[in-house]
Amino acid sequence: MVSEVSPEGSQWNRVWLRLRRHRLAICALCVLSVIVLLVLLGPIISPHPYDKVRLRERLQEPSVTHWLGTDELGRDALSRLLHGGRVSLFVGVAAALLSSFLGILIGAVAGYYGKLTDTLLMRWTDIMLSIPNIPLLLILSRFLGGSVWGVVAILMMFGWMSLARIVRGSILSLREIEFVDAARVLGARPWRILFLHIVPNTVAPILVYTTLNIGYAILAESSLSYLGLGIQPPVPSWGNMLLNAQQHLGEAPWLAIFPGLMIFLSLLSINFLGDGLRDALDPRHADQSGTG
Amino acid sequence: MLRYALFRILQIFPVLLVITIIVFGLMQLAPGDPFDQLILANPNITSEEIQHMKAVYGLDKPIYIQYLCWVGQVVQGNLGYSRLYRRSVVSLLPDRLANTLVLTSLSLLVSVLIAIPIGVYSGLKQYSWADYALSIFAFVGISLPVFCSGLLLILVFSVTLEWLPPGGHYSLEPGASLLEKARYLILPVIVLSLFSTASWMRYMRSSILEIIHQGYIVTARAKGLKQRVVVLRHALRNALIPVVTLMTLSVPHLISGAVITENIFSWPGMGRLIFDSLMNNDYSLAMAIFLIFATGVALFNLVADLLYAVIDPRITYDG
Repeated sequence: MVSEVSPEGSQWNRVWLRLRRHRLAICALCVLSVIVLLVLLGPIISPHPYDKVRLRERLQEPSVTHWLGTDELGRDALSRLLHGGRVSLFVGVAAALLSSFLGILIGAVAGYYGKLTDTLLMRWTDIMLSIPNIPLLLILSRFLGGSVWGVVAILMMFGWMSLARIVRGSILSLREIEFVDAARVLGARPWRILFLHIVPNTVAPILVYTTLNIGYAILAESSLSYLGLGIQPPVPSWGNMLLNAQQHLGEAPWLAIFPGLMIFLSLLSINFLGDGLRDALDPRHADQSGTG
Repeated sequence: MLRYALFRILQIFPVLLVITIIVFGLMQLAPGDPFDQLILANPNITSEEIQHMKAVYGLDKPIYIQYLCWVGQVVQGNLGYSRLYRRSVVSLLPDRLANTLVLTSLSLLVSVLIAIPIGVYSGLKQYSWADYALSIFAFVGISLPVFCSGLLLILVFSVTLEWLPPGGHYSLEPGASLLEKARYLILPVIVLSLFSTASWMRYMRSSILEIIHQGYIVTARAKGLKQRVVVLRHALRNALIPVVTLMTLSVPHLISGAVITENIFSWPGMGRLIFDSLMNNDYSLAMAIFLIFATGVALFNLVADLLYAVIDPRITYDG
């Protein structure tokens, strides 16, 4: 299985080779790249301004001028889809990065200091994991939400728990290893040991969970926006476009289909990619979960 | 065992403490002070009168006293007054709770009944075309948000085919037969069970894969036992243990899904109620519902842990 890997290939080369064999993950990476590229180039390639209201052209079917039709205010659906994607993906990535950071911090502190700190932080993590998050997210976004950064901040509070547990676990096993002892003997401060010596050695789960967290954040943002409590119009996001579309489901189903499809494709490819990354980073896991 | 049970029961108190602190903290955070509205309603009101009102309602006391008073009321079953419905919150809950329980328990049942056999099959036939197809179905199920699948099903079965109602509740048709009532449940249950079916199927599959290569399975095969006996008696029973744990852990997720599902299909349950109350600034109602959700999950976890200790003989809790 490892025969085609040259012995001098670095660890990341090997990971890349294993990932490349995971066909679905590679497909997912391609789809995701296309989505990101389209959304990044949105302002350049979108055929109309996303917020231009043309009441005479409302609820038009997809046509040559409006590829994905128009919404109830005559705004071009494709342009809104591209712009909404910028918002949705930005919220997803920002919330995932911030909550991963929070998870690493909490897990590292709990694992390294142990004792009471550990007990308190881990009990807190357990409680957060056992609270149904959507009701709490709804309440919080009613109080604090609406803006893009408000939603990011709220989502950040709910995405860190799994990673905190995992980082804590690997730190418990790593902190007794010789190179950590060596660093301690050399007089390195706890924070230096934690973030220079221990955390880099847990990079595999961090990478996997941050990837999956992006999916989780996109899902949570679109759920909130779909319920009208996330990103507020006129700023489009895939979630609030769906909310709009639901009122015109009978006359203009295309308004619902495309934002839904974009959310679905993004989540599907993120999940496939996360799965592939997990297999590639941890070969022991591969024969149990492989999908391709 | 008894010691473990007592210890586990005691453990619920810190959880309840944290939940009540979160709820109380959120209430402090809620926009709009009741006295602001009083002032808006009557601009001539003096600050002495407001002070007097605050004293009457105990709002001049330190915050921890207010918290303790509130917890004391909650323990006695007083969850406050709903401004939106002009009734006490407790009187609103039974119907709504029942509707949510019908929806979630049916979805749970459907998920278990589908996920376990399919997961076992998929694991036993690893790398067959059926396994690939089921795995892809699982990823689709995990990646399809409830509001996407909900809108899609409404579009197909209600708008286009007109087979099933796009939402609402069977109480709208008082004289309807059981079959007609069930029509209101089909779409919400499918939508809500999709995610758990897909993810439990994956758990079941990997759990079976882990077990199937164990020595005692090989032994059972070597004894000449039939495949059916090996799978049902030896493999499934052991493979189910971790799956059951993961299932109980995903109950909060199911409730979150129910909140969104109820809103898609206008199902008059707790999730719809929390949404309506938030939209109408009835925060005491919203908090009460959240409190019930969180406490319910905590109690559920307690029961699940206790049952688990009874079922799994390999774990010893004393010592």
